[in-house]
Amino acid sequence: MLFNSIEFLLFFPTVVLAYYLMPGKLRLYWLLVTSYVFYMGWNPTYALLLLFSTGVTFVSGLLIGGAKKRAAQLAEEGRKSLPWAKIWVGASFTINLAILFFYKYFDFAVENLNAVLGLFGREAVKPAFDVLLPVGISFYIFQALSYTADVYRGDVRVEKNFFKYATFVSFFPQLVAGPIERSSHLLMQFDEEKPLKMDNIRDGLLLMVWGFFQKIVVADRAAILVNQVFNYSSYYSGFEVVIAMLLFAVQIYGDFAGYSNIAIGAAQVMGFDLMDNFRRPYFATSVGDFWRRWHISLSTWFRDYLYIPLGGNRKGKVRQYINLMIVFLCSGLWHGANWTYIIWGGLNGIYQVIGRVTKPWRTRLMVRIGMKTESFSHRVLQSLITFVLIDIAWVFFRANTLGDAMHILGSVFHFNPWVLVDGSLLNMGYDQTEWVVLLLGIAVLLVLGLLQESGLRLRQGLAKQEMWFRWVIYLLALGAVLLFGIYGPGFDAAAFIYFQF
Amino acid sequence: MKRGMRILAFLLVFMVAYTWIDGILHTKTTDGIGTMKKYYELPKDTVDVLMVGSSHMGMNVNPTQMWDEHGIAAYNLWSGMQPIWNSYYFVKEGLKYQNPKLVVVDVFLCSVLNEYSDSSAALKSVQAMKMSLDKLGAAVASFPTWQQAAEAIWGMPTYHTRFDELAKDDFTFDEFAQELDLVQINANSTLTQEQPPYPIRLKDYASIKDSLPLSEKSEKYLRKLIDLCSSKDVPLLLIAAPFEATEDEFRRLNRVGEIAAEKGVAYLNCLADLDAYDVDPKTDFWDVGHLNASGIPKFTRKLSHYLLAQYDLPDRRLEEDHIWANGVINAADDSSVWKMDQQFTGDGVSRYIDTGVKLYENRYGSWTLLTSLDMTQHPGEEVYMSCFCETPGEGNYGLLIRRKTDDRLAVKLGNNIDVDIMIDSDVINLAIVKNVEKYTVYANGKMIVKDYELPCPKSYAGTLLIGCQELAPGGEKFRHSCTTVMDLKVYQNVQGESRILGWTPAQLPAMAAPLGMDGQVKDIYVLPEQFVGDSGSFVQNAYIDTGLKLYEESAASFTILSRITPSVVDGDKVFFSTFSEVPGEYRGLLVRQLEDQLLNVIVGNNHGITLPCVPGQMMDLAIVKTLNQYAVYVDGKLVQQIDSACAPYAGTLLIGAQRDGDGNIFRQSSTCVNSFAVKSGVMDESEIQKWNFTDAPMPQVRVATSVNYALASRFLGNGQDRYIDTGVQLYDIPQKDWTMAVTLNFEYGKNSGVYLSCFSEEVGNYRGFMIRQEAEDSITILVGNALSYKIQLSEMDRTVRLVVTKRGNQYAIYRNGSLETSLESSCDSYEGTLLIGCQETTEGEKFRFSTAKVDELTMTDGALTDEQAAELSTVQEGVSRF
Repeated sequence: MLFNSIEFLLFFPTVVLAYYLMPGKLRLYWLLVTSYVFYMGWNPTYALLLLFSTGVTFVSGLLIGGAKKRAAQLAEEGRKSLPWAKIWVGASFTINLAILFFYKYFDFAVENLNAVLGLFGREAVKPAFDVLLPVGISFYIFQALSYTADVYRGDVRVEKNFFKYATFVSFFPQLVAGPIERSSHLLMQFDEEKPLKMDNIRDGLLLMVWGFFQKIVVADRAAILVNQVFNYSSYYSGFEVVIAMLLFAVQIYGDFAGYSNIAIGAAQVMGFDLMDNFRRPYFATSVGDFWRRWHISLSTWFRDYLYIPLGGNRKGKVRQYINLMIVFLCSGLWHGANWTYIIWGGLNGIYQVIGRVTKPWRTRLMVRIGMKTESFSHRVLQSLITFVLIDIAWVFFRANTLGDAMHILGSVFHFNPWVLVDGSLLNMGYDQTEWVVLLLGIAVLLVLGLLQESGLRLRQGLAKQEMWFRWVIYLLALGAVLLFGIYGPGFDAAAFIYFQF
Repeated sequence: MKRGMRILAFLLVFMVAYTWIDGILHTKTTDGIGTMKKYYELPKDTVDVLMVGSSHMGMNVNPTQMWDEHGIAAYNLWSGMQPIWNSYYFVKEGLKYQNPKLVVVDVFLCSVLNEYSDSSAALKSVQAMKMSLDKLGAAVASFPTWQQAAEAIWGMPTYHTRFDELAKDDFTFDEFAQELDLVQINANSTLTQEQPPYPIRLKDYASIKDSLPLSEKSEKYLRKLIDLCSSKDVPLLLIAAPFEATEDEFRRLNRVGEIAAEKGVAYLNCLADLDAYDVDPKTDFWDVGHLNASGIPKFTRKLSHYLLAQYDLPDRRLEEDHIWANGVINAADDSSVWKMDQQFTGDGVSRYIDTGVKLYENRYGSWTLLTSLDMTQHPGEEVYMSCFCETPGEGNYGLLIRRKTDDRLAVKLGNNIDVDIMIDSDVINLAIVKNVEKYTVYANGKMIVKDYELPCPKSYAGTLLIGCQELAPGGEKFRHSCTTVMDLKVYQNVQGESRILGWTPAQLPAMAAPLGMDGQVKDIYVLPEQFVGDSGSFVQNAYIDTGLKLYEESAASFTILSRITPSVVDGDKVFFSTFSEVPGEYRGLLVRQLEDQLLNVIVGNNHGITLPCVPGQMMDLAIVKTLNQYAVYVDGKLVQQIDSACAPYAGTLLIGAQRDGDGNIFRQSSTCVNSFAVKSGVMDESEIQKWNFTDAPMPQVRVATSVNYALASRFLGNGQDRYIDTGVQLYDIPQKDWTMAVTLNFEYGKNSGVYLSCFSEEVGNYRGFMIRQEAEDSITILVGNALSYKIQLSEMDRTVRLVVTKRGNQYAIYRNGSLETSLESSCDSYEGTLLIGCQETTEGEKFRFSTAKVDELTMTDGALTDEQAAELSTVQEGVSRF
């Protein structure tokens, strides 16, 4: 079920209330059952897929653990054996990635195969079935695989309790769109006592309200214009497109960071601590910095389980660049089975490769022209450049086809500043009031982001204020979400963008 | 614990805020939301007929009319596009709060196969219900998913987007339902009155005898509805109001009939027998499903007749406390649609009052009229009031109250039938109650007739008039009478007997009699000093407005005594006038000189005579008006009698000018009026002959003073106290001509201030003449009514030579030998003198001392020609007097 649905509004309080009322031993099973209920809100049969992936990685964990023990015994005796641990890791990865491939990339592969076959005049392959993408599959498969890898590396102990492990994989707050948790961080938390702490509940709820604000007030509102322009790109050009590009950056951030905040907040209400997923990414001063702030749980996953195993930066510069490109192409592909995503990933990789190649040269240039690299204004400049690069890449991410993306980028150069004042802005999906609400929402995002960036911890800071002030803030936040949120029968509840990945 | 309290307190605050905002955002439609909210407010046991359904119920049946015509207390609890499942829940909800004697449900939407109506319609049928299991049931039945039902119950998801369409009314939600009165809810005919007829195309329904199944859901809820009413022991009437049904839709309506027959419930399928409802498909609809202003009353009436015949419904009209009795819940005690605020006394010529109340607009309408009539004066066939058709060829019908003989008052009612009342007192307090087609009449507390059935043959569009009759609705008035109506109140419903008998007429102020009607002769105006016209060319506003409205009432009687001197010069020659110049509506009084030797007197309805006159030779002219009779006397002798009635004219009596059709002054004249007096009432010939026509004092004629002046030595302002008062008045007569030649010493880059001023600082009426430097690079000249002109100068301009020559309101300004500009501006007179180097306040105090330098200044009387002025403005190198 969607976080922004009436079901979740009933589901979540029920789960939390029962959770705190029941004895500690039962809570694990309660979370497991409710997590599966949560997942089955989309497609009940796909719960089997989740269960299967859970089973495979659970068993592989046991097998790897056993194999490592036996290998250690044999090594003590000075005998050699087959590398069973490696074999089981490989098997687990193969099975899980196969599931992922089948459900996510099969159609794409067939399409591209047919394109190639077409080039050689051969008849196209017709798949015998139509695959519906299971929600969140990329997320929980990656989470499960991280466990396999961690066990193999010896970073975590083998989990022997299947229910606990299954709850770890299916934990509903982060099941379908992250953060992609690590077993080393989350698995242990299911053993802990979780006494009822009002601070957790208050902070968790507050974070959830903030997440809803980002999602349904800002992101979904921005989406109206973004969809209009990207779906009918031939009608728009110049500043209209620039506005849509800017708003898409707002939309995807609000959408995904909003989801993460709701997830982290929901988990916190129940006493769980999930990892941070976003740290004001648009304040990044380089593309590399951006990826250390954007979807942190995925970036670190790729770092730990792909980039470093590929050799990271230990095998020379050329290999490092190649590894970077591999990671970002994979990341692009992970986001979706479409060339637009692959190009988006590739662009982000290329940005960083170029950045690193030209770094010494740029540094020398800056020294020579005497740029004050420590100054605030320099940082602003860096952030702006980074933002422009990222936003150009987002065009590929959002555009429906590659052709659209190229057209949109090309049309940016049509100089038509009059659209800003001649009323055209009111023909893009918003009336004047909607524009005001949207801009205010973005302003709130920006101001709070700046405060956080300057080191202020907002929720802790708020807790120190007088009661009347806190209440006003709570009421304003709730009021803004209730009033200005995009929800209800007037709208199709907008799915979170990252569900499709 | 403390924390627990805090959380509770926060939740409380949140709920209060939420409820407030929810009320603001809540959808507010009359149908569904308004009808249900209002229904909850009705006092117990006030609804006898509960009508439920879609717009086919809400917009085709008018409960107000049912009340007015038959005293049926019906309430229309409808919502647009209401399917039968919502009707079921509306009835269920309705029966919780009232005990109706009959439930009528419209089954229109059974004829279509929708499983759900569209979301906005469904919301209207659910959201105003009070929270109960039935509301939940209604929501679940109305929406395809439980999520949508939950959103409808919650509300906020469905209307939070209204934040950008909120209007003032949204912030007064509590009053929303209260402000909706029953008339508003019931009389949806108001919506359709402006709609042109829409002919609907009907099939041959009578021949369709077979049926088609209803949707499973419709049938289920139809049966539930029937069972509900039978379990509550309330009779149920199912009704399909007329609409443009397809054949299949009609077959489904037949299916409703089969179910009704099976369950033993009454069913009216109006389409099957449209004629029986008086409804004409060509003229009585405004769209395919809704009757218009012509169809609603007919359909409602027939339905009422059916209800009265089939069910035992009480006539509640005489229950004064019934909420419907006043049409409006919570209405103030006095619900009259018209009441008098001043007694009326007619003048027999033109006086009457149009109340605007159309008593017979609907000949079946009901009303109550309470009035108090003075019987002491004017015997004979005088009219007290009428709303009566006397249009030739149309027959006579309506209401007419008039005196028949000395001792009988006749009240004509309905189809020209007299109800006679003996006149046995000075005042008769009369009450007439019309109840559909029956009349009950009371006089001085005695019932004269009761429920006298006097049907009117037609409706009549005219209004209730006091003191006269009219030929056709809004047309010419006649039988202007001298009757006195001391009080009158009209209610557009039937008032109870106790209110009628308990009514005492108010002591209203009497109406003043028309001018001169009292028979006494009194001065109402005497010209204080002679009027000497100059055609407005020299003295502004050269006319006198006496302020008298002699023709405000046609019945006025007055006498005008004047001594006039016909003019010897050209131009307009009006002596006095109070005359409408609107083409086609010429009327009033006008005395003027035509050509040289003809005096033209126009009276009444543009009735003119001409008399000889000698220019320059005084003559005494008297005009006496007695109602519509005019007598004109010249030098004490009657020369003409004229009979000419005219409509009232509201303009005032002017001397020396006229008003044009727009009321503006024109034809300011060169005539002379030596004396002039107006008296109310009539003077006869002997009195006029005795009258001493003495001249009024001569006006103080203003003579323009000379402006001749020459500056003796150069003026250098010190900015503190230095100035020169030339003593010359430039505007004592604003039209006088003069010429100014001045040489200014201009200092570029400074702001020297005032060079010359003869300028009134009167706020709102700045006027006069001024030259000043307000900016570094220019000087400004103000003329007349503070019209300003700026001359741009450069560093090279040290000496600025200007000539201003004024002719009337025309100013020509010359500089360096050529015309700089021409300006036109008129202004009132100003007594102040021309000052050099400062200005003066309205109190005469000098201020704004400047540092300006004036080298030369000469002022001469009269204007110069173009060449003269141009030459005078030439800078003569090296020649300076100083």
